[in-house]
Amino acid sequence: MSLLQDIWTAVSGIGKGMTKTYDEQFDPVFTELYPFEMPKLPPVSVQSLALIQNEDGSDRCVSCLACEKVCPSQVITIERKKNPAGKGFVLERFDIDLVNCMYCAACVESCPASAIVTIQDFEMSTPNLQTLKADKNFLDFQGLRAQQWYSPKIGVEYREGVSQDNIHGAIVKAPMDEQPGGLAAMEKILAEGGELPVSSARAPMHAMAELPVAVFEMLKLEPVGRTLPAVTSSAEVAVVVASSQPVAVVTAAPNEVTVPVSTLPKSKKIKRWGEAPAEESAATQAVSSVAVVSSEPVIAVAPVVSSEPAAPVVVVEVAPSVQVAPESAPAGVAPEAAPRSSKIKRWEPKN
Amino acid sequence: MSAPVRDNASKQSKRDLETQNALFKVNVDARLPLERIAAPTDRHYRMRMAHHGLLNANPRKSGVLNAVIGYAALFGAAHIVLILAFQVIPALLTNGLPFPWTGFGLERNSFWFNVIYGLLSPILAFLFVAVVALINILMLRKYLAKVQNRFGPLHNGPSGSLQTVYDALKLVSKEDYTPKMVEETIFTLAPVLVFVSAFVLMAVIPFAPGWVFANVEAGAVLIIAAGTLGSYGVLLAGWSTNNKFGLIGGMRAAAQLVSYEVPLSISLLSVCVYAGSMNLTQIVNAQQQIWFALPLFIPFVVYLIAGLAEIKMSPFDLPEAESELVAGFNTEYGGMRFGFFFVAEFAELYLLPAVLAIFFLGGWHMLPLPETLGIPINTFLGDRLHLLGYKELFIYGADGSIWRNALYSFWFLVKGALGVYFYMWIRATLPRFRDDQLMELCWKGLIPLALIGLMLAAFSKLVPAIGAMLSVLVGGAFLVLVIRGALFPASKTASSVAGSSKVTP
Repeated sequence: MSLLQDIWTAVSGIGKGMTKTYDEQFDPVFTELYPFEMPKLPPVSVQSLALIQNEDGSDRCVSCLACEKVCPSQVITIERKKNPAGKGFVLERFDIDLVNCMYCAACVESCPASAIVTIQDFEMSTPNLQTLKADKNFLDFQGLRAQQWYSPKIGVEYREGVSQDNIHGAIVKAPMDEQPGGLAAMEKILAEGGELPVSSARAPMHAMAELPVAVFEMLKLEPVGRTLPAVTSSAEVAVVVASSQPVAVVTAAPNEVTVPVSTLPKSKKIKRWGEAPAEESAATQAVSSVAVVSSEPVIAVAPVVSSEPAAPVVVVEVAPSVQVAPESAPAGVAPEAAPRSSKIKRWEPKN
Repeated sequence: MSAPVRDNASKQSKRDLETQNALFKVNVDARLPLERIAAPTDRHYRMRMAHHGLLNANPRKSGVLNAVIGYAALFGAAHIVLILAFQVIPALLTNGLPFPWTGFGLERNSFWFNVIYGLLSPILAFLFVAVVALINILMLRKYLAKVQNRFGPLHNGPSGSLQTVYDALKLVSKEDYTPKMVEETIFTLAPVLVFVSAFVLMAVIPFAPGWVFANVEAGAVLIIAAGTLGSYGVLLAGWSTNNKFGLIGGMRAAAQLVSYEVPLSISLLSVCVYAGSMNLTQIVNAQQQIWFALPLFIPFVVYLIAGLAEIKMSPFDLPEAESELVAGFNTEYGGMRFGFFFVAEFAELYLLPAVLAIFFLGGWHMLPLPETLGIPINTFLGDRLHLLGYKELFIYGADGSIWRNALYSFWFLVKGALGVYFYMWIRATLPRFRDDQLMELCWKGLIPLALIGLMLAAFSKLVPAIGAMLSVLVGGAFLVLVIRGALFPASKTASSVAGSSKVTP
């Protein structure tokens, strides 16, 4: 029988292998057709360096020589002179030897003015190495050409509205969801109904400023079946409620400074090179994480953690004057909204 | 808007830069609407491609229809060569064409007809073999690429369908080089011998009733003999090149081919025993009711494996194992001499499945259909309309008509192509055998199995009930496997789960 067993092992093994091969031929192709299609690069991609000029054509560089000092390869050469018009210095010469540069971006991190930045232009191959000994003209030109660049101080910036008449265009800061870093990624996870990793990191202030917008939008778009907690006194109160769907209820005192929704800046989507214009819907802007900061005292700032869909109403912290309404909602109030997503996608580190 | 010339540039590089600017100069302002400022045109390959308008040739955007047309034209070319060789040219010689003024007016099988047609037939056969080999090379590259999640040939012709034509042109245009220390006569002769051994099979293969170059009585013997001839060519090629890799490859090839000739021949002979003839046309005609793959399942499997070894394809590619011997027996060959080996290998890749189709899969015959299935409507084809085919599945037209023969040969080509696909599938999957395992499989496994198959074939010939029983058993087992695979598919592999996500570097 062992012979038959051997034969069956061989046949079934070959069958398994051939099934695998058969499946593989329908899998997608990984090849990138590079010269025909540009790859999409992440915002922080250290492919080349550029100097940024302001909208009026003046240099952002303040000639502090920090980059020249920090450069480990010593490829930056700067000459400066006293500014005849005012205080400070102006550049006379700014050379980077891009052939010997190791693209560590130490100059970018050291720059106090965010004048030298990393750009995504990787098409630097050339038959003539002399074209890579970049002088100020070249670096300025690269800064003008770059659609998008990055510096650790400011983040990602775009140059918009470039035309024949105005080659400097206007420099705008990229919206928050295009900025690299934790917050945009976290909000994306929450928007998909996922769970945030536990972290002690604080969100930056400019992101916090946008959060009330999201809260209002969510209240408007997805009404809850429960009554709003009635505020009897004028105490500054912020309540964060976690229920079956992450919902925040915000009330503020009349004398509290509230930001009108219409005037708040909306993050706008900027078309990237080679990218189709993205459809933007209000739903994608809805942020599940809720944090409301009142002037004083801060009562609750917490992301919503809802592990079970049917969890009861949890009041994180309630001021004594706040009453939480009973479970039964009166008729006429907006009906119970369907759970946004039944399955909870947990956050997992990418390997 | 081009990059400024550096002051410290040497004269040479300045001249280079000027040349570049002259070559690749582009008026940026005229070409671009200045949504963005364009990059300097002398900088990169991509910019130069854009300047020459080559970036529009994105193969991903070339369209599916073009690719389908390109590949269908290749397969159509092979079929058209067949129709030309077996129908059009004989008709031209015998005034068989519908036009009264064409043709030479010779009698069929008269002396001059035989002389002229005999001179023409090797050319036509070579044409067919060349086209088939080109298609096989292309399909192998495409298929292996798909399995390995690549594109494969992409840029020459629609979806790369003209790639092998370009390759052939390149091989032809190369220098005919003979290394210094080789035995020149044998070195020249060996590729021819290998090619001829594959090419001779074309003479006896019947593509449709009457569509055969030489209807010899002992066609099976000729097939076996021609296959043996190929091992001589490989051995001589390996020895004459005076190269250790070549010699080892040649020795391996000789050992392998001689060994695997035995089960191959026995499995073919058991078909001859069962059919009662060695004539391939008669063997095909004996399979009108049932294909021999069912009653002669053991010889069928033995032929599949031994045929794979006979064409020296993975997992039996020891003679030209790339990772061990550089290229095996054809290490020292280049240009069209190497092209002969290459064409022979890929011609055999089609011809052995074609022989498989003749001996086991019914040749040109499809499954028989009862006459009563036709709808009694009078059409120009007859008094019945046959949706599924006239007498046979997917075969239409009256007996002996060109349409019927064309359809017969078409389905014969399809059967061969499926066999080629199966061999390529195995090649994409299985790793190479070790030398001793190879011999063990042949002498301890396949030859006893083939002998058992021969015995069963003889018994089935004497007692037809045994053949019927075997057919039911094999067919039932096959059906069970198919139904089980259809109802209970295997669990998803890891790659198919993660398949939707594209890997970005």
